[in-house]
Amino acid sequence: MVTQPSRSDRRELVHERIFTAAGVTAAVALVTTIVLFLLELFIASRASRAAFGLPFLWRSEWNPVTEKFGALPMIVGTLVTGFGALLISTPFALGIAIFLADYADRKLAEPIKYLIGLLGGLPSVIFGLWGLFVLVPIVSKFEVWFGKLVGSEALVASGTTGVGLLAAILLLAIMILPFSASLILESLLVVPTELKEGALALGATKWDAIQNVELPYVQKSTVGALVLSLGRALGETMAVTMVIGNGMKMPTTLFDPANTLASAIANQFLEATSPVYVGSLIQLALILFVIAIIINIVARVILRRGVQQ
Amino acid sequence: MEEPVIVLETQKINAWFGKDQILFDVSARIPKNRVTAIMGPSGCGKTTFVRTLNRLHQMTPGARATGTVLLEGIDTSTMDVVDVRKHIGMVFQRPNPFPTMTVYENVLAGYLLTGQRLPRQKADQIVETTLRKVGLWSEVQSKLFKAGTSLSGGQQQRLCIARAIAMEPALVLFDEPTSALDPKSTSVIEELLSDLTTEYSIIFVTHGLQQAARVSDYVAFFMLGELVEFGETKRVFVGPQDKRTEDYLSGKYG
Repeated sequence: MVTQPSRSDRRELVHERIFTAAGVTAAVALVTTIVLFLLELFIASRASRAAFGLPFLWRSEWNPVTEKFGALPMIVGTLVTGFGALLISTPFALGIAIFLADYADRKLAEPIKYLIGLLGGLPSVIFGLWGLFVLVPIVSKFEVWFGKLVGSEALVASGTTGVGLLAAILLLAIMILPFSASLILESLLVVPTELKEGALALGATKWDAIQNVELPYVQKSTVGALVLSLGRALGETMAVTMVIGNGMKMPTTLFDPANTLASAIANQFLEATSPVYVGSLIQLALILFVIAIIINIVARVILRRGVQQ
Repeated sequence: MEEPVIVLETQKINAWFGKDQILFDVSARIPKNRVTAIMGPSGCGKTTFVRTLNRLHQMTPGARATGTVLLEGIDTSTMDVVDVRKHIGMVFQRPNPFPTMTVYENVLAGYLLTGQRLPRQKADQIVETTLRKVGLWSEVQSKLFKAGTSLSGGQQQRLCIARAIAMEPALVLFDEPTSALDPKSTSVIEELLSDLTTEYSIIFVTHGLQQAARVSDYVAFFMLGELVEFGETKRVFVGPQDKRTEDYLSGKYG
């Protein structure tokens, strides 16, 4: 039998409507903000687009005096530091995650996990400061040593600074390490015990089981974790700005001062006065935005496939 | 009654999880080419007992065990653990084929995991004969290169049996292998057991009395970590010698 809704039912209905309306408003506001934000960036950078057009993407001159701007050195700087950092940190991240998941005693694993979380939450300016005062002098010594080794006087001479691509890569590698290690660890921890024991029961050693059962099982989520870490590295601003050297020329060696898209903006937005200069910096932001979106989509696609499997 | 040939003998096995003692002086003699059922109420140490045999118990953090296990007369503590596990196969409660491997690779998993390379012809032959032994060949012949997890639950469990016997073990431990399966798949596996005894010796953990009665030649009754009674299944079911066995058989404990 169908009955009239009671009074309390009706009240519940009203509550539900209010809640739904509030939720929808919040969601719409968020999306609108992002769209407006992009639109604003697009409009504010039109002077630069009018002056350089699409070739902005592949011109490598950046000269505020003559107001000639091209983004290629920064795009290269961003990709080189991002992928370089990923390349260096990945073996360590895998090692840490495997150690914590399969070898470490719980008494040892818990504090290490805590420390990794702490390291991941450290403000990047602290990494930057450490990079500048500790890492950069080491890189500088290495540069001089390396310059002598290959007989390059230019390297020996420039080695007095130490700031540049290599310092940024090393610093980024350290910064994304906690992030990728904990993501990989999480996926390793959900490998079913039955599978590990199944492998051991067949005479596999622990390492056999890790190599042939656990790692293939987490392969996709690991790749996803690494892509997310890459996204972090590409967008990291403060720490990189402090150690990369604000070089606007196309870098030719790893020791060259350079800029990433993010660090170029941070280094120069205060000096940018003309509309073309400001517009060019904003275009750098747009490029970074697009790269970040692509990386995120790739990561999500990979992760989703990993889950389905 | 003539004395059966013994494949595995345990002497005074004690096992612990942390401070909790799970097994107390378990000494048993497991006959060759027979199904020996391990039965008893939940938490009586059945699973722990079989897991001490292939030393999987000791892999759990905080778990340890003492005592001697003789496999065909050889003390397994003098053997490498990897070899022990090659000679003592295991089938788990829930089917656990490796999801990243094909049916074909799952059968050969014991070789692949330990890095043994087999010539193609030999590998094909092992896969076919092993799958025939578990009655799976005709069902999966066309799916050999699909994921092992694409099979039905009962087929997955038979694939796991195939994986264990592909290593030609002397003894196979079954740890309640049908508890996650439907009745039909259960009876398929039960029927399979007696075929397997022509080549292998089997220890079969179960908490079902009927199942123990149906599948086993010998039965070991465990309670509170002690081996209470061991004997031919018929004899134990008809005339239990221990009061506790009798109570269990008449349904006094879960």
